[in-house]
Amino acid sequence: MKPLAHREKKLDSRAIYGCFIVHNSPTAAAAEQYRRIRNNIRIAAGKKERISLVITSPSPGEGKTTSAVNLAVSFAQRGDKVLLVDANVKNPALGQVFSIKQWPGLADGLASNMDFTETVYPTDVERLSIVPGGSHLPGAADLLDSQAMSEFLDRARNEYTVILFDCSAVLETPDAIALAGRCDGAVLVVSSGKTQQKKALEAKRLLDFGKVRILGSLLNRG
Amino acid sequence: MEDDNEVYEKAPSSRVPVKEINLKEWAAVIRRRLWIIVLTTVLLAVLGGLYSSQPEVPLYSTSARIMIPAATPEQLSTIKVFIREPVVLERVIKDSGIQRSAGGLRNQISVGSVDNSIVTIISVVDPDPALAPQIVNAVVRVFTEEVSKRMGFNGISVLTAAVESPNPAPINPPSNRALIAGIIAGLVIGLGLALLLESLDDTLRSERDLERILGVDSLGAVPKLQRKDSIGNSRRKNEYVRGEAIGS
Repeated sequence: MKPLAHREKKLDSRAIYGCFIVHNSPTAAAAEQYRRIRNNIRIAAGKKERISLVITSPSPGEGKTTSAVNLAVSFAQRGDKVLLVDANVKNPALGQVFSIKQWPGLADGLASNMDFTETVYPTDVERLSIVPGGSHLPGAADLLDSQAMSEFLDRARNEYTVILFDCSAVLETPDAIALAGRCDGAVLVVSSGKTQQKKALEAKRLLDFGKVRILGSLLNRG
Repeated sequence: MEDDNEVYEKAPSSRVPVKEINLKEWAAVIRRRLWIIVLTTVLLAVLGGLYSSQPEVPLYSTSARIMIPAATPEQLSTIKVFIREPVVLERVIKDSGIQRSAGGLRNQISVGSVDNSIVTIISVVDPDPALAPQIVNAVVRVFTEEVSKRMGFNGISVLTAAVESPNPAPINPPSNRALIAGIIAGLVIGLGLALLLESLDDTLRSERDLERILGVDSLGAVPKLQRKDSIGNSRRKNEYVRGEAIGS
């Protein structure tokens, strides 16, 4: 078992910059691709106007957060009202990426009777709000599959047209599958030249078993 | 998680990944594994370079031409055999007083004929450029006497005697052949290793891999962040912090 100690993910400025490539360098090839992927997600999700998605990957460190932030910004640029949620409660990174404090966030919101709006933070990107991971609470992972989570989702769906969850890896925790079951689907981030076929197939098998709809995969060459 | 694994048993995907190799993929493989090709090439080139830089004993060759007007080809062959016979060589060693064994001398001497004629060339290879012609001429002399004594054949005449060259050139000049061989072998082995590593590598690399092996639609591929994209890294990041400077 992994120790439950709160691991502070260290992100260097380049990694954080990579999260905002769509925002800062809209003409870069990577930004174009994120916009294309955004459109493809729209197509894959069908005619639905409001979509909620889980961004996950087979193993940690394959570019989930980078992809999630860039996709969130892309949706916001298109005109969607976007809520980006850090559902990686054991190892949250969004707070650091957006230079805000990590709590109160999702875990606090689900664990207490805190109002939904208190955990939502506006960002400098128009139409994009985020929910950081929140305090590290014991059993935080179980909160993701709770009644409180359903209420959180209902609230969020009313106010936002696109909800993205930056989840932990499929092979790491069961959170992503539990959460994806409540959402419209999952986007599987795969790191080119790093993700092994075996791991990817195992992740796919777990997602299939969890009856998760995989909208598609995102190949990360970064 | 573990429970899921136990409960959930499903036949593995029927999709069998097929390794298709085409030139473009080869080029990509070489580009990706360039380091291993460069490494083996440099390594073997260094080894070859060391080998060819080893000092070698320079060898000098001289030859004499003689005529053997034999009656039949058999007689000619028999007479030629005499040149390298121990009987002749031992007398040569005794007469000239050189420090060689008969067997060693035999390896130094080669006999050839010019265009199947009766003209015969006797060559000697020796590290000493002065000694080589002496050996040749001694061999010719002793051989003529022995043939005359044992076979009663007296027609052997010397066309050109061996002479010491004023500025002898070794027949084995230092060459970098080993270096070139090392470079070529390094390239071949490196390429082989690269292809081997590639075939052992089972990571996903392309959108086609994802669709073929994983059976998941590909939404797109995000290219590597270009260096030019991150020029003015800190300034750009500040733009995010300041607000909607660009974007949307």
